[in-house]
Amino acid sequence: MNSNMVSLEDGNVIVPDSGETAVRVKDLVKTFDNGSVTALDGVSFSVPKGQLLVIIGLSGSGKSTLLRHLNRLHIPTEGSVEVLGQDVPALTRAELRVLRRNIGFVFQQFNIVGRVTCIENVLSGALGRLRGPRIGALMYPKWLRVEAFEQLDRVGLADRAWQRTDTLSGGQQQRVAIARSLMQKPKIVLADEPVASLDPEISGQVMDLLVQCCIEDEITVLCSLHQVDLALGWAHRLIGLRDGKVVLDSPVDESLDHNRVMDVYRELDPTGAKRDEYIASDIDPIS
Amino acid sequence: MSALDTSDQRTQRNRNVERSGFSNQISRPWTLQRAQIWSVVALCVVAFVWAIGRVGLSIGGIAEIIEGWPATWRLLGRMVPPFIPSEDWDVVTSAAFDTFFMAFAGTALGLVLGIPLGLLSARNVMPWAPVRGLAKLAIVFSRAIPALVFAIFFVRIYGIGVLPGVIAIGIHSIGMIGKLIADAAEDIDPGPREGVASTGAGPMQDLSTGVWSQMVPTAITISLYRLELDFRSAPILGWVGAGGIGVLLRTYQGSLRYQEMLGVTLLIVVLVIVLEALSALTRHALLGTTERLSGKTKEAKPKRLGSGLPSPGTKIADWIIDRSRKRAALRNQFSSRRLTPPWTTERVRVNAVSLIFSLLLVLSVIIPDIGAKEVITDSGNIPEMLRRLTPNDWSWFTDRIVSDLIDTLGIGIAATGLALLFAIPFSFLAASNTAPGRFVYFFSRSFMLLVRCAPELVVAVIFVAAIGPGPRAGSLALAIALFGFITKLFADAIEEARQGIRDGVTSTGSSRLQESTTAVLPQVITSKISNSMYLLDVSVRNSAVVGIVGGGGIGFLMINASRQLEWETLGGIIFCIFIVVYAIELLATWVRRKVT
Repeated sequence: MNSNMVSLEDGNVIVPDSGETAVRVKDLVKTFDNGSVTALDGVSFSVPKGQLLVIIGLSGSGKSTLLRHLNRLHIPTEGSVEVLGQDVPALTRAELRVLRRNIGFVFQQFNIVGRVTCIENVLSGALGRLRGPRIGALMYPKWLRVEAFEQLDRVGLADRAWQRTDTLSGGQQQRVAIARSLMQKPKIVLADEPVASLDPEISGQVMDLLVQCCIEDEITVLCSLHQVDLALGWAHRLIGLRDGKVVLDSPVDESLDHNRVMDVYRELDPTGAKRDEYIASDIDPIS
Repeated sequence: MSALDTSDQRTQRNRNVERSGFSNQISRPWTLQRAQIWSVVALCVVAFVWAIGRVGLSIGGIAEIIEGWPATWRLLGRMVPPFIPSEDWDVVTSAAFDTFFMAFAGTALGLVLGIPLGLLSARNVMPWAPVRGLAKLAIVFSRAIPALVFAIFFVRIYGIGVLPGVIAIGIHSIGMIGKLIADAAEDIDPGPREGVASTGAGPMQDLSTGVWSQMVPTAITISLYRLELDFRSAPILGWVGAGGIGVLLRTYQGSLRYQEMLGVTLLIVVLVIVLEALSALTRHALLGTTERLSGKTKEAKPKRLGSGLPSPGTKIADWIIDRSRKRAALRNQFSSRRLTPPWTTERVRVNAVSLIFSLLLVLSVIIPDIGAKEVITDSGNIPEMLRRLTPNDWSWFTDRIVSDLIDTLGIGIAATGLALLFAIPFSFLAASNTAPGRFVYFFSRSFMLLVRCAPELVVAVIFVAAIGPGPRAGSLALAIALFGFITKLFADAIEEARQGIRDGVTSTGSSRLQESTTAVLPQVITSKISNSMYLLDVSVRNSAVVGIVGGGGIGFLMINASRQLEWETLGGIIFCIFIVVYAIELLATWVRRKVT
């Protein structure tokens, strides 16, 4: 299916010889409220460059927490996080800025400023390359504005550039957020349930757009998702989290047992009745 | 069921209640919070009754007023018809302009200093606690000291003129601007900031793109609101020599020219009304349309200015268009899109407003003739003056000061109570959804607007002239000004009450009054209490200075100390005012937090 395919052997991911490692997480533990809540409990995995990785799991299983460690929106309680060859928790502020510039982050809630224009939101993706504060699109150099237009064009919103972002629909706002991430010229894109607040039809479109752009730019993708079916068309690999632990780590190929995928969601359905429904439906993870 | 039951029915019902098993639950349990609230309410009532007696407005005091009515009437008679002699017109106009520009420049100064201070005191912007603490201290201090007190201080430094007025307004404005900016910054959505941080932005970029871009509408609202308040406080500053129309008020009052005094007062009211209208227009131009568009469904296509006009069709125009096309073709494919925002009507409007404001700012330095030289040379005296103001011992702390401070508190509380007494019923008449008719609503609103536009201290000047100096005149004047202020807040809160709940009560067959008390009052009571506490805060601050124009309280001693150059006394009094005002503010904040 893909040359970057990884295989699972005794629970260890074997990185293909050709690729370098983009992300390496080892024994990551994160607790909140002075240790009373454990969000991540010894998570280890590594991601080779160019891989499209999807993280699945119930709400509260630690998907977002995991992703937010990779650009240090969270600081690990224990364990190591290495991104693009750098020890993330140990970075200085300046080094962190450089790293963050290389990591695009797409949020579930878009996290764009609603009351400014689309292009200004996209331009803010270039802040890591600039010095000093910017207020208003006109404070960005012209060549960056051209670049922002290119990115907006890729997500199909160039004609909305000067419109206030909050006048757009949810799917369009997420596309603006994607354009902002692409504006960074990232090496890695972290997407935290990017389509969870959109309707199914739009979800598919936005997801396709994100993946297409990332493949074009040879960007490594770590994406957390609720909808497994949205991932199976393009993902190289699935990781399943439950209660902060990795319970599934498998390439998306013949070896991926669809019962194991459903197992990740087991608690959702203690009686197992729903699972049969899933199996009966045409969602077939082994495609 | 009839409301007039027989006693038999009543006993029967009481027996039913006892038998039901709920009889021990039918009254609301006394929780700690409920006990606190009721003790505060009781305290307020006691304080009000005490204050009314203290300022001489108890039944005996009112009888005195009625007794002295013929004299008051004669004095009032000497004020009408208000007029301004033609030979004074030049002075009056130039003083009016000075007042306007003084307020304008003062607000600008307040914004320049207040916005950074506000951001520095916001928890989510400034992580370093000591800096936050210092910024907060500056904000609290400048809020607690009235502009008129700052004016007395700066007149001593820069001499009589507009400059001390500008600085006094500016320094006092810092407090409110800083506090509101800090609140607004702490209220922003952290999501977009995370988004900006994730792009690798630095701290200043985070501040501009993540924080400030979300705060712009709030900042505009705050600025315009402050400008309105400063337009109201500026006219009186001349009373202590800080330039503007207040000088004339003082001159006319001093020479007992009551007709002229009323004339100037009315001129001030008209000026404030005009400025308020301008401010409302500006707010509408800047925020009106844009902020309403934030509803997601509305696909607002920006309308291009002049898009409907026919093209000029002249050769020159064609040539320009042709040339620009050729240029565009030379650039890359995306340059056909505009790299600058299109000139939508909205952008034109925003730019026009900014231009006008910048022009006004330049004018406000030129027209009142503020010398940069004075600012630099005289500012050197500030440390020396501050040193003189610092008391070395307690000799300034006399019994007179204590009793005047208590008077001040009395005036503040009495004025608040009186204002509330009239505002609570009146606000229902001034709210469009509870007013008994369109005419009543319209009349109440216009009356309120008129009252609101008369600055407290200017009203106090009239009252002192009419019923003689003393706390009585001060509290009545403050009560009237506060009444206009609070009724608007109350009426606005009532208009925001949800119609659905009212429908629910109406459909049980209630009367209009029952509907107001059952459906509307509970919805607005928390905001009413919160606003009332704010009112008390404002009222005490004003009562500290109302004595300057003869309205009783500590203000009289303060202006005396300033005239007789008793610096230590002046400094001590300013310190006392700070303590009293700040204590009231803390109390008000505590109560507001309890109820909301």
